[in-house]
Amino acid sequence: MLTDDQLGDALGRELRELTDELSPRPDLADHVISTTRGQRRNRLAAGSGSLIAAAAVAAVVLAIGGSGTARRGSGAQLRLAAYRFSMPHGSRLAGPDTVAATSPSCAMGALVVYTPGAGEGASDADQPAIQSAVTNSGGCVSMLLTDPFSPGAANAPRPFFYPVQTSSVMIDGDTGTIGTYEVLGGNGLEIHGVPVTNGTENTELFLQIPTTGGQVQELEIAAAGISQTQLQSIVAAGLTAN
Amino acid sequence: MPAEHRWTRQEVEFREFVAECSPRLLRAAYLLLRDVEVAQDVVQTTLLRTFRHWRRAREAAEPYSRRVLINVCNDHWRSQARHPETSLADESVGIDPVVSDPECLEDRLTLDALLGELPARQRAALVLRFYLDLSVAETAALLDLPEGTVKSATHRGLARLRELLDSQPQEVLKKC
Repeated sequence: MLTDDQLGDALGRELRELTDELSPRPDLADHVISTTRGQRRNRLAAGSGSLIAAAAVAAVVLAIGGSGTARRGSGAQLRLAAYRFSMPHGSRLAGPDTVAATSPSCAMGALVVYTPGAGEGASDADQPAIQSAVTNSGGCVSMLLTDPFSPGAANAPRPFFYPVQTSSVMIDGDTGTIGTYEVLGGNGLEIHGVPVTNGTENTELFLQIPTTGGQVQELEIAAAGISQTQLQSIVAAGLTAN
Repeated sequence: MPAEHRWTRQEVEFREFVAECSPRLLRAAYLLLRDVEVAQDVVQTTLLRTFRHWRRAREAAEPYSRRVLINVCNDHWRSQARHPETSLADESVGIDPVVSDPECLEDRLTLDALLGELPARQRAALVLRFYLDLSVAETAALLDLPEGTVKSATHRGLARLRELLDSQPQEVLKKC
């Protein structure tokens, strides 16, 4: 009678013989690479304006503390240029440090940006200003609005994100993308005091808002602890009510 | 991929990795899932996830991809448990081996079929331990199980396999 080890060895040997002719589909590696490249292109197309220099968002008013901006009985308001976004009840405005302490993935989603040419030496000075709020339940929303840019321009900015699962959205007539994104390519950086960790996943909404001369501005929002539906509602209300 | 496409260093590395390791991943996936078509899909998903994380994965790409493979298999089993009506059990696509020695082939197909009768955990333990030649510790880490559980699953799986082999009308594993 075979011992366990002998039986196991025989099992392994026979299964190897049996499956020896089983081969992966042809061009599997190329298919995987081209699929990943396609996803990256889609992401770049959707987010191609996320990341222009800080001067571009000079109009952003960052109100830390929320005392002057929160509505009575409601949550804080985030202001980006002419837009005002009402956060969920009980939320409060917060600086990057607070967001990072509350929800690192959310902080990374909105705070980690990438400016072409700056490469991995990107510094805080290259990053647009951020508006953030945290909720009592530990969620957060971080927003930025880019300078106007021409879609598809050679200097189109590149973010650190890979799409995991995304879908198209139309908010107040503007097209965008919402879904789960993953930070990739930023290990070793520290942006606004937040160390970048590849592999962190979070919800992102990218919305391109047409401006003059065929250019667009991109609204980039990272969220944690808030549903995608709720996030879309917040954005829609902010775009239409002002 | 266009002929004039220039591969990046990462893509070259990944292609080499796929050429070397994807057959092993596929064969393990088949033994775990019992369906060639499902195994092909699972391996494709595994490689997509591995490539997305290539900067992290490349240092130990095969162990990394094995881990992803097990996760994708778990997703598949959970999906089947939630939606048993979509189970492909009755229409699964089996292996189509080359017949070099009919007697040995019969033995191997019998063994493969008996392996398929084992519970998923026992089957996974046997495939990882004896097909992939992983240690108890490596198997435990992959399956997120204590080492003791892996040992007992292996022992029970082999015991059950022995029973099934003994119940065969003809002797198996002795002819080849």
